[in-house]
Amino acid sequence: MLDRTKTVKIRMGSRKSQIQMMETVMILVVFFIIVAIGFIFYSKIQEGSIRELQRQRFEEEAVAISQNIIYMPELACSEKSVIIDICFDKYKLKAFASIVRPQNRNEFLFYQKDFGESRITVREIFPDQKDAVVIYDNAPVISQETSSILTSVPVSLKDPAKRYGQYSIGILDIEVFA
Amino acid sequence: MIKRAQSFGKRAQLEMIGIAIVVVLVIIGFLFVLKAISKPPSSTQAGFVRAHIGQDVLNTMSIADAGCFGIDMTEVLKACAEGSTIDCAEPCVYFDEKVKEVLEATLEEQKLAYRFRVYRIEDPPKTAGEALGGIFMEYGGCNETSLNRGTLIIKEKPGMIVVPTNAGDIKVMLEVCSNPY
Repeated sequence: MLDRTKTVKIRMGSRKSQIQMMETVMILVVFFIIVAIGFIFYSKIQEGSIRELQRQRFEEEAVAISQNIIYMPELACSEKSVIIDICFDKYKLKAFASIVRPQNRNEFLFYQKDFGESRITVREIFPDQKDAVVIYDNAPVISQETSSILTSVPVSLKDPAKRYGQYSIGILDIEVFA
Repeated sequence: MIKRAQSFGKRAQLEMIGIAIVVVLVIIGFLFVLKAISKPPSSTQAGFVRAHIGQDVLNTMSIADAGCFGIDMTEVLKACAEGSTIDCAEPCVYFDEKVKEVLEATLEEQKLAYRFRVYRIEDPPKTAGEALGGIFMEYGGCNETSLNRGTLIIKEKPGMIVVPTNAGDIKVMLEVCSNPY
């Protein structure tokens, strides 16, 4: 009789410990699931902040390129030897566009340092609208992963050959690729 | 029996504390995620464009050929203020028309809201209609009402030029408006 009671007690004890084991295992499973979800969230946030950083650097590059080109003496126009702010000489623009081409390797590489992978165009908008002139083109092969940022700056365009009405308004479009 | 009940109560208390800690951790995590998501991305490039475009447009426009026998836009504005004539049209109407063309091709093309005003310095307008020769333009709802309500704000320094004329100094202002959020 005593032996039977003992056996039942031992059986019940092992069942209880089995249940406790299962409980511990379940708690661990839930814990690891929560940790995994947290890790996924954290990595997503980190990915977002890295992308944001990349975008910021990319935008800074676009601004730097636009500042570079606006104040380039190769393109700037002048009035009685005084440089005019945000103004391009139309003849200088034409000459620049014809020289800085991929076919002219040395000249192209020289400006590639400053302009990187970008496309720079100038289009006249006022008083008459004219076709855009591409003054630098180093656009990469466009794929799904290629993104670009466009900065448009209003500029004065001077035609020094004219006696009156020398200035017109143009838009300098700088498209930087990443 | 009493001892058993006491130990059971203690265990329940401990589990309650555990749950409370888990809830607090989840709330902290959630707040962290919410903060990261709700942070609006700042744009260096857009900020740069907004900060400069007003003044750049006015500078380029002031010396630009008006398309009227070689005179520039400043001369058309002078004629408008002084009540003199130009060969193409009534100067205030012509100036208004040409400015609209320029602003459409620059600011409106980039979807930037703006307010353009021309007025005598000694006689600033109280309402839009009082501007010099009625030269007042707005785009994207950038007007007195939206600015007073705060639905749009002027963050950047406005573009401004002063044109001296025989009828007093004329102020040309171009303000770029932006969303407050």
